[in-house]
Amino acid sequence: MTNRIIFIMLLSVSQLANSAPFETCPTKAFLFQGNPTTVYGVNLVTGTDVILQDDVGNFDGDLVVGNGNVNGVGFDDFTAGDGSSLRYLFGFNTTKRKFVRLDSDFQQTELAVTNQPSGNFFVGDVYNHHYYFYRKNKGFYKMNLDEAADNYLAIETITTVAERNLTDFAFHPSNDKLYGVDNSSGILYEFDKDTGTTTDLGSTGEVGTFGAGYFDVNGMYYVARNQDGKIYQIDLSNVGESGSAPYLAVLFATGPLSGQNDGARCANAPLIDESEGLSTIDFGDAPDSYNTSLAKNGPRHEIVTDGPYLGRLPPDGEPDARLGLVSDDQVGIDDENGIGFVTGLARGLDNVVVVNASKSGYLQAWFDWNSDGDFTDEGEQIFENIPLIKGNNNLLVRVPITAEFSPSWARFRFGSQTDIGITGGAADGEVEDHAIEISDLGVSYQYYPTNGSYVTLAYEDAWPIEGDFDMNDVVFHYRTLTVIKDDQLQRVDVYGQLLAIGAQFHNGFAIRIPSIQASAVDTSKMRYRHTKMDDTGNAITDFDAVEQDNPIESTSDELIAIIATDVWDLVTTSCEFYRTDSDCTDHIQFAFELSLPFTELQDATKISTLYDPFIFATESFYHGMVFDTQPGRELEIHLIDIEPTEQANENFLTLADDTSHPASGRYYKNANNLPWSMEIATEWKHPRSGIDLLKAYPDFEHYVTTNKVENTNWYLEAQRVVNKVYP
Amino acid sequence: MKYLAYGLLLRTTTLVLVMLSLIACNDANKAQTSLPDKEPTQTTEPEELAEPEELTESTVLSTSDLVAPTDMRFISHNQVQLSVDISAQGGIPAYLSIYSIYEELTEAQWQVDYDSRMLASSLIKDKTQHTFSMPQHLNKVLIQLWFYDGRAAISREVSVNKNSNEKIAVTL
Repeated sequence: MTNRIIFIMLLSVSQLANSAPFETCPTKAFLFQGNPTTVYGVNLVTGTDVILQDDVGNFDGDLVVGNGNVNGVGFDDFTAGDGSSLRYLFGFNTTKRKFVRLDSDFQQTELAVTNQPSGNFFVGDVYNHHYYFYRKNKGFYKMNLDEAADNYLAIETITTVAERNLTDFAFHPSNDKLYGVDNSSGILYEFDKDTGTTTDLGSTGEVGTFGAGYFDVNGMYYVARNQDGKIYQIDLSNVGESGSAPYLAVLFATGPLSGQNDGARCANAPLIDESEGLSTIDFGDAPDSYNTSLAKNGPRHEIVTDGPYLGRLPPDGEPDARLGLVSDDQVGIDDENGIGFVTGLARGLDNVVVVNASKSGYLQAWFDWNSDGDFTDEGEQIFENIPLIKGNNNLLVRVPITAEFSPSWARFRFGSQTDIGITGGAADGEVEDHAIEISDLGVSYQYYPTNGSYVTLAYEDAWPIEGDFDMNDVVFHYRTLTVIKDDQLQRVDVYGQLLAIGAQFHNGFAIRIPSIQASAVDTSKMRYRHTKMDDTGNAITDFDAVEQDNPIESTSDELIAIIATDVWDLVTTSCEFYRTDSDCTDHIQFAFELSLPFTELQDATKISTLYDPFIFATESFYHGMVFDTQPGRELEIHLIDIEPTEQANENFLTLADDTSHPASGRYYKNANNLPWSMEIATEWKHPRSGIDLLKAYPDFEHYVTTNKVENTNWYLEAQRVVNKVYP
Repeated sequence: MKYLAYGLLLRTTTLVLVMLSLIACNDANKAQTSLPDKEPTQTTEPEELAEPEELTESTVLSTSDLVAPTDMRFISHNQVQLSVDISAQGGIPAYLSIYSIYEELTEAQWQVDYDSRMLASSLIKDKTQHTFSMPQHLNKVLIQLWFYDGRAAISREVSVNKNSNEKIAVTL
């Protein structure tokens, strides 16, 4: 047997082994370049690419390795009646002048077409199991890909009128129209697939050789320009509808450049699909008015091994920007820590911002000085292509004298590329969006526990009957910010998340700011936002649309903010309880953010940065056998020795196991001085349902019996019994 | 209408620095409460309540068996009162921050986790006082002082002694 025969046999076996169709509709765009053809997988989100195949194989019997340039490629997202995949790529080998099919390993197979027109074809796409192709001044054609059809692989001429100067076009996922950008004029054309008639949809604002065009499932059209690799996005999600024009090309990312490009993509796929694996893209965190989400072409960076990033840790990937009240920091790695506003941001001064870089690269940054929800006003780009060195870089930011004294946002983008904008993809690096506050001199901020973490509030709701001490009937994460000026209280901010509900009773959750009257709040500047979140931490509703209701209890003179009248209304679960059983791991669903500015500075000498978070019984619900009727709002459960509010019924004190003694300042203790609620100074893992606190945290015993002298860290991770706490 | 002296119920820890001179406050854990508007239906004199006994692990089967000290409040932080004197540092304004997570990279070079900030204060006087809450499991913090005129920042790690009457001095 000659070597040549062996080679042919091996080649044939290889062809058979690699003939499998694509199993799914992939998110990556495919870019075909050069001769011989190299196939790239392009992440349109960031512009990064990987080589998927550098040898598309030979036709049977053809021993010329690297068989030509494949162009005019389209993806056929087709499944047979029995559900089996027939997803293949189809295109035209311009070297052999043959139509080909490519399998999931990008190996080409010649198609036995009939009625093939002469010449080469560089423009093609697939729709409804038909391959459509085009050439200027020659014609527009289609070919049936259905093996069962009488006209299988028979080419039909749709029209010989072909005036548009195209190098690629693509089918829209939700209409049956083709779209392409004329290279010379930059005009977007819509093609009728049945007649070839084109409609001028206006200029995209960009010209060049747009060798690759792709759609995503939302109707966004992406065109890649050969000359510079730039990928532009054109919003065709509502094409043809009133107000949807003009269809401008917006820079989206920068990908690979080439003199010979063609692109294909499964138009029914989203740009990011975590079922294909965890996202390797870092997004920003600012509200979407700053164009943060992918739908708004928000800033995002491909996470590259050993690539540049900000802070101590590389960023973690996200499927999209987190627009809820849970930032990227609270999900996955605490990675938003590369920027330090070490002098605050004092108006009119040169403030120091420390930027920590993992390696050298370029920094861009924007500050929303006028707090109008964007970074586009004059003077809001503060850093442009600033070279950073590895480690800490001390940069100066002069805050304009006209900057607003109010909460706002800043955006920092860092990577190896220059000229990165407020939005758009980048091939490496990181974006960090930070909430900022322009302040005057002399202002102090007290964070408890810190500006980036929470304490835990754990309640037993059986009061005044002693509970089972699993400390999970209601559990909140909780954080406060106290703003003081001239030794007086200027503002209090509270942030929280509902962690668990381990009781069947219905309870509300509220916060009292002790010693402050409700009338002292400047309601015109008060901010209260809350949101329900999906399992990725994103708001289920648009962040900007979250209801801005007034939480201040109108029937109280004291300043009491009602966060929820029934915490069960804040979550949905198929379990008996919410996040207390280890086999029932619901995600965190509710978060809130409350800001209480005061009309006049308030006495700050008596405040505690914990303030007074408490639970109360929900109206019209049973709350234990102690009560003949539903106690409702009059039943409150506070931390030990905290006096109930004016809404509480003090006749409930000392009932059952409670041994309150108001005259001596004793509240919410049983006879053993044990509580119904606790504050733990970390993001604590609460015990599972029915697990006694001591079983989960054995060191708690000695902590109590030594009166806090020993085991003061009883609640930390190293001290807990892992299988006794909620994971 | 009622008022609480809630903050003053907290245990107090004091820091004393020289550059940042911290002065003790010894009376901040005195309880102050007002009388309630409503009388309870039952009253129990505090002195009749159980006091903690000598307990061993074998005597306690559950949390319910514990007997806590009367003044135990089941919160896990302390109030720290800080007096700052920067008169030797060449003038104001300056900016003071306290962090709980940090590491020393090289001598006097600190890498700070900026999400661990506990206090941030713009200083427009040479001598100021501040209060912040500190989780009880922490025993050290990093204090940083930055300036607006290009002077080098000052960083100092400070041990926080939970003995409320002890003073801690740091010389810069």
